[in-house]
Amino acid sequence: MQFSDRWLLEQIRQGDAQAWSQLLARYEGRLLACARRRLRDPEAARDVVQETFLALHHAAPYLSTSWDLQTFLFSVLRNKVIDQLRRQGRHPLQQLPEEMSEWNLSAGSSGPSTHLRSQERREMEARALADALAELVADWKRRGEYEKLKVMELLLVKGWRNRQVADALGIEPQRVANIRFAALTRLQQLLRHRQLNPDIFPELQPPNSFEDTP
Amino acid sequence: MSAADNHLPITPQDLEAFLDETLTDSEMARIESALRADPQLRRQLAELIARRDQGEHSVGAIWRRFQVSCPSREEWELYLTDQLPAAVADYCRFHLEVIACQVCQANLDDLREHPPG
Repeated sequence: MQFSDRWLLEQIRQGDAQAWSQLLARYEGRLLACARRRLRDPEAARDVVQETFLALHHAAPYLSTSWDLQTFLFSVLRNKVIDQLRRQGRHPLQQLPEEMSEWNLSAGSSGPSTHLRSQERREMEARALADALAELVADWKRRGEYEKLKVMELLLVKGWRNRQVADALGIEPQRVANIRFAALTRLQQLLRHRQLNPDIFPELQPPNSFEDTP
Repeated sequence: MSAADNHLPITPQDLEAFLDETLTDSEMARIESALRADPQLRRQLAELIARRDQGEHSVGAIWRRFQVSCPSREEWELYLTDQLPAAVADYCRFHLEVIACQVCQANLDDLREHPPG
């Protein structure tokens, strides 16, 4: 019988060792596959996966049941992989010229006027946006509107311009612009429903016209 | 159309994903190589790091981190056995090959290595 993640997490909180084993068996393979791809070192991959499960063990009593477990585990794994690469001196930023760190500092002192917000507040905003995006995406999937999903994924996740997206998907740039305008407008509504000001996310401001803005 | 076309310009979203280690090896290598060669791109990256430190959000990073559009594990099982409707299978392929989602790639690798009994 397949138990839900949420149920397993509840059991783990009550000290159920079998639930823990079941959860490990469910996620270990995919986490290992991800770590192996990036680290190219089976032993190091096993280490970071163990560290990831250890982090889950520590977090389990406090983890909200609204958390998607796969999202949580892969977020932790990503950080563990970055730590591992740094320890091995293989992190990409360590391979760049030294002036990188100087620019980092100067950019930090003269950057945009975004004020420092608490980590907690920032996390809440990120989760609210993820929730709104998930609602939009689920709606498109339910209606079979995969073209809209592809357009918005290329624009927001890859950062492509309207024309690039149109060329890649074989549709008119105007259609891309229309989809973008409608999706961003809807996202703004969804954020307001969640009592969040959409201005926090400048990328989500719909352009005033259908012009090909990045 | 694929994730690591060398002629594609490097976008801020690419740099975000580079920092988050959510790119394929070939994309990581492409961006690392471009950063070595291009001081302007390094400056962009430094500014991006500073903005992240100040708490600025990136929609693309949130989309990736929360796996907003990832097909479910069950859908990937059906994908491997050609049991998905054509439109869904087409989207899965797009998500894997163009978006190059590393979480879904890991799920697929695992399912191939350990097919569900």
